[in-house]
Amino acid sequence: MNKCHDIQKLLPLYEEGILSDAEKQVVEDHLAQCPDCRREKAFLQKADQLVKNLPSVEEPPWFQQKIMAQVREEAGKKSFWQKWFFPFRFRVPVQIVATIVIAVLAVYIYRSGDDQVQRILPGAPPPAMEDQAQQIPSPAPAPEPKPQAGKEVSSTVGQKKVAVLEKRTKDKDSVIPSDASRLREKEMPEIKSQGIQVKDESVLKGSYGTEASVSPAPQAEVNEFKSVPESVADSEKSPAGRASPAIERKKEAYKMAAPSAVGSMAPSAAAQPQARIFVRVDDLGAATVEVERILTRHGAGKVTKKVTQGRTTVRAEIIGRDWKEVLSGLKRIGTVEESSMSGDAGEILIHVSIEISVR
Amino acid sequence: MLWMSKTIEDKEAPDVDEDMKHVRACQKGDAEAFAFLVERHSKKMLNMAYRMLGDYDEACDVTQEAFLAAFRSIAGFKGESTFSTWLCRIVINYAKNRLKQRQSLSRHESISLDEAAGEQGGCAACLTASNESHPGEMLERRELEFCVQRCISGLDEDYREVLVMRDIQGFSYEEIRQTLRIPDGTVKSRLSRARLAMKDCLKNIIGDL
Repeated sequence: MNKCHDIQKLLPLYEEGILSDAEKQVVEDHLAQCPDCRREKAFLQKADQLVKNLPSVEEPPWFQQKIMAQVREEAGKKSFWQKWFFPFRFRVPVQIVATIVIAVLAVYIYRSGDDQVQRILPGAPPPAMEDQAQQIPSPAPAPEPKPQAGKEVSSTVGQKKVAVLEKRTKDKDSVIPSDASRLREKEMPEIKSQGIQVKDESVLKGSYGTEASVSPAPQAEVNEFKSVPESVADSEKSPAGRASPAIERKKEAYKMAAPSAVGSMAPSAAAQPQARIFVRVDDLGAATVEVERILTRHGAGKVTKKVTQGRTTVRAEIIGRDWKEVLSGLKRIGTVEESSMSGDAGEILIHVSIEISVR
Repeated sequence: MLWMSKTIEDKEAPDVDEDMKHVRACQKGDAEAFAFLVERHSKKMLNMAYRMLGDYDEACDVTQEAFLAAFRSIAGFKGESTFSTWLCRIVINYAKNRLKQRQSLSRHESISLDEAAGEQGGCAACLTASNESHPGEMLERRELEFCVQRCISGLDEDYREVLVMRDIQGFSYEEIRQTLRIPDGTVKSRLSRARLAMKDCLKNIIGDL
């Protein structure tokens, strides 16, 4: 019986002819003398045939099309993924792409911030990167900026940012009316009522002298025009700086007009009208002296002078009704171009900026 | 048993070079090249899934899923085996997963596997029409087919896959060994046990064969 059991285990493979010769011989010898095993072999053959002859099933309609539709959808997803994360033929890690995007965004935000600062603060230095591009590389290292000029343009980006921040702080100070501005406001009705022109500059300066201890801002403004930062001088010496004076004038005129546009940010500057003119002369030195003389004669206060190569900027504060006389005096000196001019200011103190340059 | 139709093309080995050409095209991003592979292998894969699962609708689902999975991972196909073998492994794995899901489901619903296997089978219209059209013979044949399928579904998964690959789909021992990644001796022993189990099962159901 055990023999039959062992033989029947070998029968499936015997049918297929994959038994070894020895096993095959044993099976054949046993089958020759065992009818039960021969019957089992016949059953096995029948079952095997039933299995092998099972009919194949047909695919349902549109079966292949359905598969391909899914495949195409999958291919579309793949290309979408590749489009966003692997836009190149070679694979760039997502981290690198993210780093580049963040860096670009950071630079963009930094520069747009500079533009805003420039718009709000007319005196602020231009965006650091643009300024660097305009600067002519000097062979010798730039000298350390003077303490007074520290608030102005300096050669490094970090210092520029500091200068902008200081400027902003200064502007913030001016938002809160200082003692000086309050004093000035107090003085004006007196002037108006008495009809007296303020002719003595020392009167104005004297009144400002008291404010120096309270708010250094006006003094800093004076210093700003007395001492010219070397880097600014360099940039003005450069061809880029002098290439288009008309454009430069427009830029500066825009800067002068800006505070009135953003009055909420700089109310003290917007409160007073401003005038800006350009005078073309033959002799710069003589013309500058003459302009100062005219201003002093007409009672201008807070007269400051900023000398750069080929150009002198004189700034002052003057009663509105005297301004027309000053203008006529200036027209005698040289050709006068008016960039921005307030209307009939009357008794109001106006800021004037006179740029004298050689024809 | 001449009345049992068996298409000869199922037994033919696919053109491996032609398969590989289209596989390379797919790997380069040509999704349309996959249509050729679907056309060539879909019927065979569907039949294998059907014999593994014993349910026509499930077999269609599994075959579609398997083709989609094959497309997703075709970039990783290095040609160490034939595409047919590789695809067959995917279909078998998906079919086995479906069987496991069904088992866990039937365990919850307290339905015996034998009953489920007996009730399933289900696509008389999908079976290839034979030359004979006598209603009595057709009925007899259908009954016989259901009995055979029921016996196949009653086999262990390990035996079932070997039996389906070898005796129904006509894979060689080497292809089975590659597909299932089992030794040659294991293939033979599993196949021997599967055939004996089928014989016993059919003898019990049908009686004297």
